[in-house]
Amino acid sequence: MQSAMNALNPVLTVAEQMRDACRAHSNMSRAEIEARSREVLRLVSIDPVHLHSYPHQLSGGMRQRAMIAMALLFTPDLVIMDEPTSALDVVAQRSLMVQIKELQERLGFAVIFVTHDMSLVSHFSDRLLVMYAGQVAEMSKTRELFDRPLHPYSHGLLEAFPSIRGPNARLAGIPGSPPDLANLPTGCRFAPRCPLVEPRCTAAEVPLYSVNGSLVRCVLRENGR
Amino acid sequence: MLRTEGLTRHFRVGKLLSRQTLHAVDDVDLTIGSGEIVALVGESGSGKSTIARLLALVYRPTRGEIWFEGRPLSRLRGRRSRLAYSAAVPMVFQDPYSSINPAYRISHAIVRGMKLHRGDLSGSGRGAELNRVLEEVGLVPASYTQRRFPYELSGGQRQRVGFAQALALRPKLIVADEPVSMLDVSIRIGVLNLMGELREREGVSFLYITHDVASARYLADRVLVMYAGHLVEEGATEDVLQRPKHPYTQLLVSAVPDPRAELGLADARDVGEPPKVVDPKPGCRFRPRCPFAVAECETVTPALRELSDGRRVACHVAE
Repeated sequence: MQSAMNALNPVLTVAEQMRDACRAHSNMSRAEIEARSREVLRLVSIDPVHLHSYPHQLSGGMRQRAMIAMALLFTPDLVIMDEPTSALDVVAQRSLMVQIKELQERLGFAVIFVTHDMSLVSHFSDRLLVMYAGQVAEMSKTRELFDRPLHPYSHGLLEAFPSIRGPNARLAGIPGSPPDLANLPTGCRFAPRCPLVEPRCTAAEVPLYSVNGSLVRCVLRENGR
Repeated sequence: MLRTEGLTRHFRVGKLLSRQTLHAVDDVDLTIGSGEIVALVGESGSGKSTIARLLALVYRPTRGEIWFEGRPLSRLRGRRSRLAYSAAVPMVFQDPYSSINPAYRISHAIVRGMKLHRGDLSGSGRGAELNRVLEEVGLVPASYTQRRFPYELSGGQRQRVGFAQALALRPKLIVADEPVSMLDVSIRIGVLNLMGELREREGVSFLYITHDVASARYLADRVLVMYAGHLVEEGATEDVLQRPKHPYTQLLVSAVPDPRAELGLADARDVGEPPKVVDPKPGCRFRPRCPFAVAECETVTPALRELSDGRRVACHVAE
């Protein structure tokens, strides 16, 4: 399931789209499909009467939950969510996150949650993998990354978000802009924007170092600290 | 400097026989002072962008009036006075990838507005002004940037071009509609800081429209909260966000994710649906979701009333 609220086919009802999915991936009978569709909609707290609704009759949050329901049709082991909340306002966003978390705990599937909003996942994810310019910059337990970011990019990202509580300090953000992926800098890809850059950063490609169970791609962490 | 009175904009939706009215903005009174940054926050569909377009003369109000420097806009007559207003209140758009003509160099994008709005400048005067505004928004060296095409610039740089375009018109108030929501998170704060600096150096006011409450707190002096076309709360930023009075503002503020807060699942669960703004009935539009709703909320639309600390709230219950 993808980011946009437009991932559902606008001219088919929810039931028809679920039927398509079931026909493509299994050989359930009509009645089985119907029953399963009702069941998954109930799982995401949508009234099954909406089986016969068209996507435009649902709100943004409901559409997103209907997408999640479709993903649950076949009791998945892993659900990949690409920015599922980016089209929602914060209130709908939080209720969707709480619901995903509950489903995930109840049904025991794993989630890869793709997002640009670190504060959103801070309370919901177990581990955080920070990407920069096509590479893994850092992978840590979520709480550890927020408490002690190892990569300068993670650190900069945390500094780039204004907070709703606490002191309203002036933030610096990260200077420069993301690199051109067709024309990458040599060595560390973050080096041109890094405040801690050293000559050796640009000399050679930086490998991932292991630091107390976290992985980080930065020469400053080569001795495992 | 700018003030609206009962500003209302309705849209007609539906077919001939099922004509309905969508109340995008209803009875909004707001003021923006000189050199002030005012944030307008609210969920999608709450009427924020409609207000921006009303202020930028894209839409005409269904009812109500906008006053700019003491003069009502409905009595703006003739091309000249409309141009003068548009120059004083330019807009910066959400999407920097589609708001600049890709076929022309950056200099063209900025000079074109000056040709239209600033007849006082000669050709060389425009050149000097072009350099000044590019330097002002941090696109240095200006002589280099002005010869670039939009595709050669990053999203953050393009958004700076948007601000340079606005600045070239000698604006009094810049209406910035979600100026950072399309930008990479690592560079958003730079654009927010730019808006703060422009206020300091040029004395421009901003109406900063956003759904990101934390960034509103970072930047704005005053916050206006919209819900379903109504202004529901207004006050100094810290007052509104630290001690929200309207139940919707309370819900909004509590829903903002904050990594610096204690870990744990958010407690309050929001039940309920987005508001109905097509042919709404009287009464508070937040009522179906409101935990404090009383009988009066069903029948009487609450008006903005002033509380003790200069804050205005549209709620029967808040005190």
